Amino acid sequence: MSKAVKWLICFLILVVLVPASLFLGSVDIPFEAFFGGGDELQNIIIRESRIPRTLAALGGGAGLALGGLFMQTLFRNPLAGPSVLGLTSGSSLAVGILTLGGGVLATSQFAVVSAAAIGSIAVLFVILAVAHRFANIASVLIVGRMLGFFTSAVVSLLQAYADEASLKTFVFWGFGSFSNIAFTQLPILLIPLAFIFLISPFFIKPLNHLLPGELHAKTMGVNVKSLQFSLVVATGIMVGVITAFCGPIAFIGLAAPHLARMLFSTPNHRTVMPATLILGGGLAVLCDLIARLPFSEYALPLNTVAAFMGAPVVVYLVFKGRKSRILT
Amino acid sequence: MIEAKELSVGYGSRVLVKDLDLLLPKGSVTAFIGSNGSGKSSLMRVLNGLQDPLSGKVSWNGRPISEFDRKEKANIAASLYSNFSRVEGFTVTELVALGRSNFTGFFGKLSDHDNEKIAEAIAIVGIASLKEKELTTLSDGEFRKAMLAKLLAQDTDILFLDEPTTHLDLPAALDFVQVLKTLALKGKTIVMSTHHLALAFKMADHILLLDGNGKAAFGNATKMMNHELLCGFLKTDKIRVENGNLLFDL
Repeated sequence: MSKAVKWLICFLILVVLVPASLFLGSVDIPFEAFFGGGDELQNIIIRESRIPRTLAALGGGAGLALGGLFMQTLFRNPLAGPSVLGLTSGSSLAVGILTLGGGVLATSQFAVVSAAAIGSIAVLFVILAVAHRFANIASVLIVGRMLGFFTSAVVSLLQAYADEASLKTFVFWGFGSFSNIAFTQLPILLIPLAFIFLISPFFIKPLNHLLPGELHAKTMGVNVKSLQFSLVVATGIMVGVITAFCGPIAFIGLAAPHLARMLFSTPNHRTVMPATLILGGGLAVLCDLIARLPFSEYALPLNTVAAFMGAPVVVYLVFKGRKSRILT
Repeated sequence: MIEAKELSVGYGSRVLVKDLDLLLPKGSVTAFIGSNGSGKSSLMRVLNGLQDPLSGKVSWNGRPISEFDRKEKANIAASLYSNFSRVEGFTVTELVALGRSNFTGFFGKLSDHDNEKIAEAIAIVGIASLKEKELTTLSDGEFRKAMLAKLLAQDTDILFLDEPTTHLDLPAALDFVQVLKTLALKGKTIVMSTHHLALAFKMADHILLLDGNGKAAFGNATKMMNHELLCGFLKTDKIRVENGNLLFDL
């Protein structure tokens, strides 16, 4: 299969999934409604639900995927994802403290989003301090993992003593969803993501030089310390803002870079980076579409769908997809 | 040309090389010889500008190395270290193309001139038949040659090679060294570390012996082929020199 056909497949995935995401749901929206032919209810659904949801899934999925790609190359670990920095754990802890111990505040969506953002940013600062202090990037990975264990322990403790209503709020946040964002909030999510997507080509050449190892990158004139710092900050911002609005979303960030490497049979970031963005966005829209169970009144948790789809993909890649791995 | 003045190399209070003066002319081959831990790789990194010296100065082509920025260094010296990994999914051509990175634009798109340089580097090293092969399918010798082609595509005056013949069988090592000799004749300044005494004396113009305790001996290969010097620095009595040949008492 030629490279052009592979790119065509990527774009076709979006061309099919994005309109499907706009039209399908518990309420079907006819095509003409998008061009002013719908009734008032349909217009409200399009503006307040379908468009924000689809854009959040596209942007959020692409952001998580790009973060996953950054982390996999940076740590030279095919199982690294955007969550390795512990940012989602930070969000979980902050939202956990708010919802499980916050009483009246827990009912406010704004409070949940703010808590998630504060939790991510707090962890990001810890990670940056560690990255600045230690030369070895593995230290950042270890601190991220340990923060994850620590916050999980605190959240478990809070859950043990929480009342039923608070527990429900926290559990629902943990399911992950692209539907909690309002049209007016979209810029807060999409502007930081768009900024990082636009600057991401600057990382293509340095990331390629990291593939044979840090020392190789240094011999090619890459400022490795500054690159590591930039990638951690970029991933931190993306994961922080996505987790704040959409909850802790698993697997998409881990699986999309592997899918991109497997589809194009190369680890070259010049190809893999744009492919990861497209496939990450597409995968998130697909998971969201399945999660909302079109033609029914019910919905599935987003993370359940992502795990059902993502876990077999990752297992398949580990056993079969040799080209998707970045290490020998 | 590489010059070092009163160069000391080490880590903290451990001094591996002390007050070393070196002058490696353009087009010369220099081999660093010493036991494990004697400071060969550390000295190479310092001469390469990847590690700071404890004291002293290094200059390339008469200009202090501290005055070069990272990109300039990569345009003057290319390096091969033994811990460079084989990137799975990369072909030989893709690896060699990395050497052109500092000449390409923002997205790393290769020009016709870049592609010519890549093909030329692959041809000089003699691996044209391997150019579409994945790195993970290559033997150790083939991979080292692919890395050397990447260094050539980088189009630098100086090549730093840290133990490039380690793990290679004798034919592959001889082949590799032959290519290095050709490159030196074309004006490349080559600095390599090795444990392969016979190969080092066969190909190098200069030999640097290191004992790991600060002591070093530097001179042309003929002068350095000396029983006392070699046995003293390598801490063995099993090396003999007879009529300009190295012999081993076993």
